[in-house]
Amino acid sequence: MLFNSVAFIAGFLPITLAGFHLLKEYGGGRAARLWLLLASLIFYGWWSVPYLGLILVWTITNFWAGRFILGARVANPSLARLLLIAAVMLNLSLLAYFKYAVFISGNISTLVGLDFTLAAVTLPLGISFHTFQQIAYLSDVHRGGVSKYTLSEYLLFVCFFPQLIAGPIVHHAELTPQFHDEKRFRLSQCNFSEGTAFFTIGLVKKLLLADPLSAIATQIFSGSEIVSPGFVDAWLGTIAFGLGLYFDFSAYSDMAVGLARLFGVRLPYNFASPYQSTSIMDFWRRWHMTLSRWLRDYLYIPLGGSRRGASRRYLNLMITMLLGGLWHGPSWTFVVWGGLHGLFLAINHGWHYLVARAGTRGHKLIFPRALGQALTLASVSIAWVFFASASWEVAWGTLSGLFGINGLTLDSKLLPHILDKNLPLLAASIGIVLLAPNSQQLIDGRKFDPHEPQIWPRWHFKMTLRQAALIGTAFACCLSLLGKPKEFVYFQF
Amino acid sequence: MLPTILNRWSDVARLSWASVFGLTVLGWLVFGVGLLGLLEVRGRLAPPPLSATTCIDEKISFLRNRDLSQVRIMAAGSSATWRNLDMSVFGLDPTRALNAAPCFLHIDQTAFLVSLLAEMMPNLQNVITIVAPRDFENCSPQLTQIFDPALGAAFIQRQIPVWLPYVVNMRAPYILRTAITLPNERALNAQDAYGSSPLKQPFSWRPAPVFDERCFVAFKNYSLAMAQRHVRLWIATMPTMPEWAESYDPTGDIIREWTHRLKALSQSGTQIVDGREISFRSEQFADSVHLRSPFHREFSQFVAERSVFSVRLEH
Repeated sequence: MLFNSVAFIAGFLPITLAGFHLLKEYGGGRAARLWLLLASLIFYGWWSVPYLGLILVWTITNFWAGRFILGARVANPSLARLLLIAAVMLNLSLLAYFKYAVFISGNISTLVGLDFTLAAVTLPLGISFHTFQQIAYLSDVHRGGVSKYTLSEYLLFVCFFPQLIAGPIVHHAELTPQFHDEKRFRLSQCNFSEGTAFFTIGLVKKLLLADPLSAIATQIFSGSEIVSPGFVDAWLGTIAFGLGLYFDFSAYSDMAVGLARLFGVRLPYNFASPYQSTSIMDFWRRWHMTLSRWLRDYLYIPLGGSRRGASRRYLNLMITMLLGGLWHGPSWTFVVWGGLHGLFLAINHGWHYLVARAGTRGHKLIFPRALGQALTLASVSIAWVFFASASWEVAWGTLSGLFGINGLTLDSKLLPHILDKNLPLLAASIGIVLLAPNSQQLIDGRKFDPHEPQIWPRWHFKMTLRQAALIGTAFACCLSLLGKPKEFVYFQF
Repeated sequence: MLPTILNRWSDVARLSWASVFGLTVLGWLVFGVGLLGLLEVRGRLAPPPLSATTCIDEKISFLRNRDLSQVRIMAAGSSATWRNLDMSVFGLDPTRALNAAPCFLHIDQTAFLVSLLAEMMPNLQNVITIVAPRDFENCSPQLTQIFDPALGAAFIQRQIPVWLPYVVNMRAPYILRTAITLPNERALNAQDAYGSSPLKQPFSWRPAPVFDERCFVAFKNYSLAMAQRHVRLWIATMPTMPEWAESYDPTGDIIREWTHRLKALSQSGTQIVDGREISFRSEQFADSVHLRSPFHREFSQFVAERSVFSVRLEH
């Protein structure tokens, strides 16, 4: 069930919300939690009943693994460590089977020259996200300091429907206690208005911006329309892809944050105006923030982080980004995308090192802010080519187009299409990502960031009746555009 | 006392936010339903938007109002089939011969539609598809399903009310755009009792031949699917418009090669009716893919003789 579908908006959500409110009022917190769990399981089972069974068995297995690790942690640390390794390996094996089996077998087949490939298996929705959440839980249990959750609490942490399919990748310690916060965990006017505002912004982004932008980008990156795009086509396609992906995924994240907020639960933000970044390090603090956090806490730091010298830090960075790339999909193009970002981050860290060293010698190295932003955008855009391309041929064709090797394209195929219908869309999208405040700045304002400069103050969310009418109108407009809903891009990851 | 009053006032204000939001949404929904009703009264309401393409949705609504259980011969395909095939030449009444072709379809989309409809036609024996090179120009898998098959099947079989597609597939811009163009479209697309809609006036459409390899795979699968259903599939290629041939295929090699490929890919039970065996002058065409009425009747007779009638003679 998609968030942007009639079945969800007109059926599932009102019923779940009404049931939650009634049970919270008359049955208490436990009844409301169980209702939310039931609703979340129906939400997942709507897509596939057999895979609902899979996620249930998977989650319950992890729950008991956590219990055993917790039990053995003090009494028998080596057993606890063994259990942790076994549980993490089990999670990774399942992820590898469903997501990477064809990729791995295809590569082995190429390497050894034997013709054997596995049949593709349907990828369980949300597998990449909940696997990471559960590995984090197991790891934290082993480290200590984790409360002993009940089975229903743990199931609700993993299966809570706003974040189940495509994140944000929530940490158990930030989600589970909220289900017991009697003041917050309820349907209130404040939660309702903020949640509705987040959800509506997400709908607007998805329907009015992300879907039409992705239609432009598809012409380049599907490989069927233009094989070797010229300079103009390549840049238009790449820019449209970068914008479309941002609006698509941040729309999903906004809707997830908004939906959770309706129930009084605060999910972490996932995007913070990433295209306003002034460096690659800054970009990764603003793009898919919960994935960056997970990679940092459960991969980069365990690998040694920056604690073992500069060269080891660069190696750890590269490993983290390569695996982060692979997480997005079973393809070498994703690995190259991750590798490029690893390289960019290493250069960025190297620059910081040079600045610090120059500082100790009394010199001051300055990189203009605007130049930093332009360079970051260019680097990110070039890397998107690998993320977006359906094949190596398309990637190299587009990349050579970006550098003008295929010519300047006087016979551009995309330009007339964009000038004809999509110029305002593209211009508005660029303006929004470069200048406008993001969703959390608009709605949560200084609750989100005490130093928030409050740009575009008139656009900030307030619980006024005028804004209720405005958001209601935007929501109704979105309802009138819901025909043939398109899946969110990150559902495939 | 004062804080209590302020708190209560604050509660009232907050309550109003949800109420105003809800009333606004409700108000717009009532407005939308009213607008649809008004368009319906004025005859400008788009048909139930299964595909959000008027000529396809008109055809789906046409099929909903037909008893499909007795159909023996079905024509299906793009407008090349819809416009060029006069079903009356088969000598069957409209309950047994049906032109289910809408417009625009590429060959993979034709296969999708035929598979869906064949499920509803227990007596189906023959399927006829008229193809032009244009039917093979783009078979992107993302576009194959022209509408949600479950919704479409339920709609055609009258298992869901006529208003449901408006709710689940609501696309306000499409509805509003169509309201402007619908009377003209209906005049141009008027169908006979069989579902055919021949063109009467000329058009300047002369599409260049562009072939997508995926369409040939889709064609083979289409042929295979019909063989598995034990339904005879007749693929008739469009006669070539001389004016089009001068521009794009002066030697005739492109059409020759294309026809040859279709024959090679045809599975058991599929027969190719070669449109090159009959010729028409350029002015007898509406455009390169459609003959003008009444010349389409001569072509239909030709197709009937080379397809269904030939089988009857054999038996």
